[in-house]
This record gives sequence, C-alpha cells and structure tokens, in this order.
Amino acid sequence: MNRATERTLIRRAMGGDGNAIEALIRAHQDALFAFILRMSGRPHVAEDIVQEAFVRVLGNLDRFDTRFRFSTWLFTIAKRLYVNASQKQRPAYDTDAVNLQQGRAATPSGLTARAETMRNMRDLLEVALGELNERQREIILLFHQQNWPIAEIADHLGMPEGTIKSHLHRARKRMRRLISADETLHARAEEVWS
Amino acid sequence: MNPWFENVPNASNANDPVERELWRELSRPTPSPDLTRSIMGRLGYMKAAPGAVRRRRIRRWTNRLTLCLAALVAIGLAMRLHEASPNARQADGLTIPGAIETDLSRHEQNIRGTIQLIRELAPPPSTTPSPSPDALDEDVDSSGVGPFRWM
Repeated sequence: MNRATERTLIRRAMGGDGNAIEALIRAHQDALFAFILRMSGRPHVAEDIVQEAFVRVLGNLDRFDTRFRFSTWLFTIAKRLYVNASQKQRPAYDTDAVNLQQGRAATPSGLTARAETMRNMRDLLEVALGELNERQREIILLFHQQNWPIAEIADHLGMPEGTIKSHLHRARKRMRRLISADETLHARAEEVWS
Repeated sequence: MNPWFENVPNASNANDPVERELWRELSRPTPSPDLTRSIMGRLGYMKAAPGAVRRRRIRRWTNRLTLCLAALVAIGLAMRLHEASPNARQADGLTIPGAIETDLSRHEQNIRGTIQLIRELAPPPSTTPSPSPDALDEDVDSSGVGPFRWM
C-alpha cells in the first residue's frame, strides 16, 4: 500500500468509515502477526497483541502524525504491548507452535522432500532467533522479515543508523556461529544445502 | 529478501547460501488468523447487509422523531395544565401578550378616527341634475364643421 492510499484510508477511518478501517487492518495484520509471533514465539500471545494494538491505534487515530508511516506507529504500539506482556509472563519460544503456524499454508499434504527441507530451515531459523537477545531479534525481524530500510528501523528504535548496522552484523554473526557450532544444527544445515 | 541487504556494510557474507536461505525463509509470508472481525467488533463495528443497515437507519430516525414529538406534546400539555391550575402564578404587571393587545386596539382606534376625519372633510353631494348623455351628443353633432367627428 502506498503512502497516498494509506493517508486516504486513515482520513476516511478518522471519519468513522468502517470499510477504510477494515482495509487498514487487512493491509497490516499479516506483517504484524508474523513479527510478534517471531518475537514472542507464541501464536496466542501474538494474536492478543495484534488485536490489542489495532484497537488502540484505530481508537486513537486522531493522534496519528501523518508525517510518519502507519506501520511504524502500529509496530511501536505492538512492541510496547509485547514488552508489557513479556514482563508479566516470560516468553518461552514455542518452536513447534511457530512452525505449525508457518507451515499451515506452505505444506499441503505429506512430507515431501521440499517440505522436509523447509521444516529443517524453519527449525534452524527458530533456534538461531531464539538465541538472540530481544534487541537483536527485533532488528533482524524488522530488516529481514519486514524489509524495512535501515533508516526506518533507526527512526523506529530511536538509534543511530550505525548502531542498527552494528546490531544487525552482530546478530547475523551470532546466528551463523550458533548454526556452525551446534553439531545437530550444522548437520541439518549441511543436509539442507547438500 | 530485503532489497537493502546488499547495501549494508559488514552484512556478514551476503553470498553465503546458508544466510541467504535463512533470510528467504524469514521473509516468507506467515499465514495469520483473520482478526478483522474481532477487531472491528471491539471498535464497535458490526458487519451487516445493506438492506439491514437501511432498515436500522430508518428505525433509528423514526425513533428520534417519535421521541422529539413526544417531548413536544408533553411540554405543551404540561404548560396547559399549569396555566389551568389554580396554583399558576399570575403576572403582576403588564405582560407581553397584554401589551400587544393594547397596542393593536390603540392602532385600530387611530385608524377609525382617521377614516371619520376624511369623511367629514369630503364636500357634500351636489343637488343640480347632470345633463343626460343624449343631450351632450346632440350638442357635439351640431357644432361639428367638417366631415370629421371627434371621438
């Protein structure tokens, strides 16, 4: 969705247009759910946070500053909700649940060779992500999952671009080292790319 | 994969197939549950057919009009009852309706007086009879000199 369309939708949503509100939800719910799911590792937590974030954002649209992107605001609110939720209940990465969620549409039936490769890849990813600290995981997700440019991530997190690049570099290095160091993971990686 | 990936310095090894696959896997769309209905519900919106929406709107406006009418009738009735009751307070001095009535009757008297004055000033009707139309015609015909006649 381009910015002009987004602004039009926001203006209409401010006036109480239900169709515009629905369009905004549909445009952003998948990305936000994927982000929070990877952050929390729990589908039901992700669902609750996504719902609450949308309710808060759409209920306070009059406070929205049109200079910024709607997604940046939405992700900021969702992130705060996630931090609050994780303070109450320490998140435990439920790899199986994330994989199940991920594979729901991708694997039609049976365990084909491709599906097995995908599953191994997901396992690798989950384990590696789970080993990162929250800040690194967030930056990795915003950059590689949400495809946000460095400048936007820096703006969103209130950090200099250089710091973001440094975090990104360290996170990748750590993930790579984790995969190489762990014999099981390494074997899986070899299996995937052999 | 993020199009900015290649432009980030120190981005580990951008050509590493392991990393590339990892990021491709990460950027793969995640199917999410459709939360639209529940979010819209929490925001106070409810999906309804256009016909139902129209009916509901008509019913809402009818209710508002009925309420307004009932309120007006109640106020009118209450005023009447209050005026009719012995406990109703009477105005001490001149009221607005009384003032208007006095003003109107004064105007009426003035107009009557003016009409009377005009009648008195008009001259009395004359007693000599006026000439008959035939006599006038004869007079005109006899005084005519040319072949013309004044019309």
